[in-house]
Amino acid sequence: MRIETGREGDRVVVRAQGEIDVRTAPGLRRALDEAVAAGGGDLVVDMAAVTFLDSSGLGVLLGRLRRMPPGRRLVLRRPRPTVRALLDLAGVTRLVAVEDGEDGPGRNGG
Amino acid sequence: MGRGEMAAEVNRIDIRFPARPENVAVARAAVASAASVLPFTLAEVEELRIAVSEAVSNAVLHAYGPEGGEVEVAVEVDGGGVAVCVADRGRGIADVERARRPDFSTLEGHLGLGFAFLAAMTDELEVASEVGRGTRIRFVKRPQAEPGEEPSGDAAGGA
Ligand SMILES: Nc1ncnc2c1ncn2[C@@H]1O[C@H](COP(=O)(O)OP(=O)(O)OP(=O)(O)O)[C@@H](O)[C@H]1O
Ligand SMILES: [Mg+2]
Repeated sequence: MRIETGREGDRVVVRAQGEIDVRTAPGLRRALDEAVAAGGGDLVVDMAAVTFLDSSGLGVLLGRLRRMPPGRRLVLRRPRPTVRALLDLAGVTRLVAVEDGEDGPGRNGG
Repeated sequence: MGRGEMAAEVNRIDIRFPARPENVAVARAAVASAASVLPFTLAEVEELRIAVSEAVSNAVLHAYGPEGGEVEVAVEVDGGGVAVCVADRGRGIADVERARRPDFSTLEGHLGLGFAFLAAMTDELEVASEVGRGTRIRFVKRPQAEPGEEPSGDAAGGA
């Protein structure tokens, strides 16, 4: 898995690429914690290139959600249908904003 | 492991590897590859990969201490579906019923969703465990499409 962190205005965007599982989840956790610690607004996890997700990755995402500083949101961007299906099954899409758009807030499943 | 009457039709693959995180992806790939002769949809293949990943991740995370140990995965493919058995010789689970409950975990940073996902992703699931002896997970997944029907995942809308 590859991880790149960048900025879009005051949003911090972490782009993950590849499979998130028990081996790669710790790297994602570190990247997200660093991104939050660096300050800024919402934390956006761009999942368009994530090809696999299971409970290990969900543990990282929901763990970060729990630790988000007040006033900053965790946003999941463009999960693929297979990844989205697991997010739905786990109820994550009820807790976290999911953006479908290329940039900026898109349709927000609600 | 049952289905003796179909023995001639079964393709059985056994793999064995150290309980290390990097081998979970290997197990996913091996099982998905063995099952690729069956008419699974993309969504079903993903469910199979998640089920394998949860069972093997559990063996890697929970079965052994720092000394490590081995994980055995047996894959049986026949015309009707794929059966996967994941076994370790680790510490075992004292209370399987409690362990299978959603949100039960003994590990910091984990949600306790692995068994719930395993159940959701498979058609049959058996968990056998003995404290001090190890844990054996067996699950079966069958293609839901009618024979002859085009397997069509609903993934990846793009060009
Ligand atoms: N192979 C195993 N050996 C020993 N204990 C196990 C094994 N598999 C599961 N367990 C026990 O069952 C519990 C529940 O497992 P489950 O997969 O549902 O959740 P988890 O692995 O803790 O978290 P998650 O799967 O969400 O990352 C574990 O926390 C562990 O205590
Ligand atoms: Mg687990």
